[in-house]
Amino acid sequence: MSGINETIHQSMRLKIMAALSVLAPETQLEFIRLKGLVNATDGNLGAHLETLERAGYVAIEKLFVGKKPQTRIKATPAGRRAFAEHVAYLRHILDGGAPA
Amino acid sequence: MIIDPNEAAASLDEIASIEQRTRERLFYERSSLTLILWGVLVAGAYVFTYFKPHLAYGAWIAITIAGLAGSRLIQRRLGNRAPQTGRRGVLLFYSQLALLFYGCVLMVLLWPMSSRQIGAFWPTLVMLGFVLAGLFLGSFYIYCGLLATAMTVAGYFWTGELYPLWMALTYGCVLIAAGLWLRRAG
Repeated sequence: MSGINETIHQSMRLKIMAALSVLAPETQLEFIRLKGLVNATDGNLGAHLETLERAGYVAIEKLFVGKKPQTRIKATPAGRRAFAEHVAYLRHILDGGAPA
Repeated sequence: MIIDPNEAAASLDEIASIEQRTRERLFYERSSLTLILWGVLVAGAYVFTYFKPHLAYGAWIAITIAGLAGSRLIQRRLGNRAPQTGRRGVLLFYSQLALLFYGCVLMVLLWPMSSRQIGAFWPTLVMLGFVLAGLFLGSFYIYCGLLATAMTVAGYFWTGELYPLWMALTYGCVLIAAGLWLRRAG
């Protein structure tokens, strides 16, 4: 059982990873949709995504759809694994396991 | 950092809530496209039958096939974005087929029906499906179903020869507006 993942455990980043992990592997979510899902401002979401990207948990793609810029995000395999381990760790604590 | 069981429980609740919301939004996205597709097809079919009533049967069969094929395409293209919502979408597609099947059975039992009666029968049946779906998916579908049913009944009794145009405007527009509303909500 892995210990606490402080990168993921932060409330906003936890929400981001939860939303992205629902999607099928390799499926991206538009920045604007993710923003609505996690109730974040542009700046706040951008900063947390940057942290997650640095950790290798999300991949961010910036592209143009027609003439409009669009940012798409997906959870990487490492991010999905880390999130699953973190959820397992939280359940372990809830089941009476020793907290880290 | 130390996490106590209360904090762990709160985090797990938050995760479950976001996962649920994400699935709902993806489902709404697909539903909205399907509604807009059917709204455009149905509105077009009613306008067509107003101007070419003798071709109505063929037009409606073509529209139904196009609508089902389009619904399936939307489901296939967007359904694999989230595996669990994809399953829900497949169930929704099969419920459309079930409604179509029972509609056909009822028509056989009630035949002969005038084109005006057929024009009211199908929207009313589909809207019954909306109201029933609303019991599981949310009150939005119930309101849409009731509104479109009320407009169908009003049009059936009070619009005379303009009935197909009334249905194109009301029934078709209710489906399109519902789709746009869901798209916005999603």
